[in-house]
Amino acid sequence: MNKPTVKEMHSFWERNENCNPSSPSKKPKPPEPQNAMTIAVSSRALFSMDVEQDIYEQQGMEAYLSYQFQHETEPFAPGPAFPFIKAVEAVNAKLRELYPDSEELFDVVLMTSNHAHVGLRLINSINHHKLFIERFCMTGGNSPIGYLKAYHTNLYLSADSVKVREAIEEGIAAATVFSPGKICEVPETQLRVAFDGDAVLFSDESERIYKAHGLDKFFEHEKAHENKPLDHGPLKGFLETLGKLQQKFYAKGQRMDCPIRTYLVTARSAASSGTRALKTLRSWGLETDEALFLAGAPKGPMLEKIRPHIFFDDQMFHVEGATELGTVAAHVPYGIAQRFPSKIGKDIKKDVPAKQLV
Amino acid sequence: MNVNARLRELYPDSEELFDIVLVTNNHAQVGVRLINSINYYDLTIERFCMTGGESPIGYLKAYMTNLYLSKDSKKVQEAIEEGIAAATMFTCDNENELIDTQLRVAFDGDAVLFSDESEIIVKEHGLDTFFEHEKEFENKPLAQGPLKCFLEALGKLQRKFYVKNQRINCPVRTYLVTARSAASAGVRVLKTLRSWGLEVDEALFLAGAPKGPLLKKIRPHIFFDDQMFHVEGAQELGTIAAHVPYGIGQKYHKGKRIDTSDVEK
Repeated sequence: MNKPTVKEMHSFWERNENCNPSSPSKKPKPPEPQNAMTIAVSSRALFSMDVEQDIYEQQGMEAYLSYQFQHETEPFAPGPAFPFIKAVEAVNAKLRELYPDSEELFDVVLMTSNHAHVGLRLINSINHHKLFIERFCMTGGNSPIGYLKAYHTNLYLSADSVKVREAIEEGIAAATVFSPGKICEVPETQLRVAFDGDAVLFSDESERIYKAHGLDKFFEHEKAHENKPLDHGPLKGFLETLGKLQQKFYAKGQRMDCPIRTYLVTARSAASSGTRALKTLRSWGLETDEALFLAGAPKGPMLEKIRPHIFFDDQMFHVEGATELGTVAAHVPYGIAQRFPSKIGKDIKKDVPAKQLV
Repeated sequence: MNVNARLRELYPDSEELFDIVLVTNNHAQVGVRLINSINYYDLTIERFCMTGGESPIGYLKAYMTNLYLSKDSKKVQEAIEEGIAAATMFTCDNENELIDTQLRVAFDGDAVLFSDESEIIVKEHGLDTFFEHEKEFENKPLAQGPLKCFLEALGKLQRKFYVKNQRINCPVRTYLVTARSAASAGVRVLKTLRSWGLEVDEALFLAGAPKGPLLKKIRPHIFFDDQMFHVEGAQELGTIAAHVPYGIGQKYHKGKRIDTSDVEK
């Protein structure tokens, strides 16, 4: 380590002697957790750590820690959730301009089961990429779920599906993030979030009917109950959070170029089953900026056009379809669809035809 | 004590164990009731110092005490001034349920594990200067604080378990719970611990968020902090917290200066 000399220390104080303790800080202060919209992200979701992960799996903990230590000054490359977090910070910057005293901001917490040893490399990477992540929970191997609750987490993104499942079971909005197959550029000035409908924003009640009784029964049922709002799904709360922040921009006359945009991308058929979905959103006082009813068409190409920073779906089939065409997709392990394997699975069933509602 | 039991299983001949001494300035008369209570709860406390009104500090030194816990803040202050790791205990109304197979100890960073040098900078020159200072001197280890040696003692015992392949369910677990911001001021902390050859199992950088909810999740058997504000915050949510009366934090309460005895008018 290069220890500073006495001369260097003197020169620091010459420069800073007259600093006033009560002058406002140049760095923005992180908001209180109960006021903020907290997004917890794991280290492997935020950064690309494939090499290190392989070392850990094949050679064990000691080799992994030693590798991290040797490469400490090398920042990690961005991971799948990186563009999303960058866009979230851009929204924060705009919110601070419009509402300098408000604590209704996004707060990003790094929630990792890594040991404190790796902390230095993570901090170096965060500073290198000019991210603003001041809150860390390094749980040294333990589950982070309790900390998620302590931070009033609104959304948890991780590369580890086991942790995501635990979080969902505890009622926390969570999804497993996957890297896109190819790089797709996403906008820097507008945060775009796309949601599937059933079993993501809404509960999986309708999907159950479809899977048990088929498409016709599903259409009849949705028509008969179109005025009965669907129950809410795991990510409804997060859409609500985004809506709240959008309202703050609308209040300042920024609806046209609002820095947050939300999309509903559902395999539902509009005429046959769309009413219930839209009426449900209305009954919750929520809206999405764009609504795409695909009636079974593949979601990949639509998403490629939208270029969202993240797309949430409960079915691996759609998640994979999205990532193949360059969208960062996150799997929400909730509901009946979890009993049906993805198209790249070991116990593979016949590929579901595109026309059917999947 | 459960840690001791596990240690004895693994190392039957070693004397590297916890030794609990009852140090009280009660009179010997009360001794009988104390002994009865100790036996009733099945505690193993065989060493007593009943000082009959005198200060126990000298005895602490004679016993080479690694940690002194008392409800009397004056005695704790004396002990700290003599270089003994000490903290004032507070009772808490609705204690969280604690695990009995793993000893969990949580520490604040500045003015507990580390000296209060950085806290002085925050209080006297503001947050920006503090961040700049920590960045510039990130390779210069912080000086040690009053509880550094206790962490060291815990680390030593932990290693005995690791050596016998018991890292995963080690019966001793340590936590750093600091109000520092990770990206702006975390590097120096981690490098300091590394330079001392110490580690904590879990590190939580809060960037000013309240410590209470996180401690409630951790459920440590004890949490050490130098600021009453944090001790109270922890207690309110059921964590047993102990105050370490050291450093500049004693002159402030909730950010406002309370002790102005050394400020020039």
